[in-house]
Amino acid sequence: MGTDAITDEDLMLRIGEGDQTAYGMLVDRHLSLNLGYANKLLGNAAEAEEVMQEAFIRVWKHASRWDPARKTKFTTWFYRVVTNLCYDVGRKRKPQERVEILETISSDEISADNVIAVDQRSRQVKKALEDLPKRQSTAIMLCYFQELSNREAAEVMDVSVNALESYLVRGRRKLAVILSEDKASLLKEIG
Amino acid sequence: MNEVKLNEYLKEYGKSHSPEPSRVLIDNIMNIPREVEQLSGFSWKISDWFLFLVPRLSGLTAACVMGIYMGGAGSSALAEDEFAVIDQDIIITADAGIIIDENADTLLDVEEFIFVEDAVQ
Repeated sequence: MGTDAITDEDLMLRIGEGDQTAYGMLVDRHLSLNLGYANKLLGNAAEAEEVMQEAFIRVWKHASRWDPARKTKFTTWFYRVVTNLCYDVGRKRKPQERVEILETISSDEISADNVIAVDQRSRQVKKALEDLPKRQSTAIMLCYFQELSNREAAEVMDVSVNALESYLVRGRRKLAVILSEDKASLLKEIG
Repeated sequence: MNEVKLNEYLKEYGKSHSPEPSRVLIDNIMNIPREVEQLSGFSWKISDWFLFLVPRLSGLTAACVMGIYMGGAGSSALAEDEFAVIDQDIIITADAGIIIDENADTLLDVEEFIFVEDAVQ
């Protein structure tokens, strides 16, 4: 049986019995994706790494209490853990503290000619996402960047699907307005 | 800004903000099992529950049986209104011996435990 055939939930049960190999497999599957998510939510790489460490400590500690009868998906539970940890970090920040914008252009697909333009737009999007209410930005990140279905994202956020869709619509609308204003002011400065 | 443009912006942002985990982070996370103790788990195995419950239920049963055998508090304790005043005639002799009157009824309680001592000496 290949390792892909083993579900995350099976791995959790094995981790609960102290299986470090299963733990390694779970880390391998979920670290990168969730690090990106935490990074986008927090806008800070160091804090995102701390969140991921704490999240995997919880995985290891609580695996023995994983209840397969609940039929909870590991990804849903783990996204919820990461989201809550990110919210905690955000709450602990001083109000005036502005997180340094992290720019890690990692994609080789972006040509050298438009790196600056992409960089500029990314900064705008990042700032606009930070200006959105927390729940709206979380909904956008889960559905657009993490590619969760509306139902999965609603489960992570512990809201109804209707509420999630409302967050998405309002979030996108507000995002479009903020980005349009940024663009207009930029053009005004140039012109 | 239209929907297409917004999607394009979001896609670019998503790509540019997905860092790969550093070696240090991976090492720290992989060291967690060696550094952190797992919480004691809740077992779903019937055999574990059997081993957990049997000694406890046996102890509880034994305690109940002993309690029934020894009786309740009412039968063994001397109630306040049930004791009898011991009224004895004691004769102290010259050689420091104590003689309890033969005819004295020495009652310790009303359940007819009567101790009558003959002369100590």
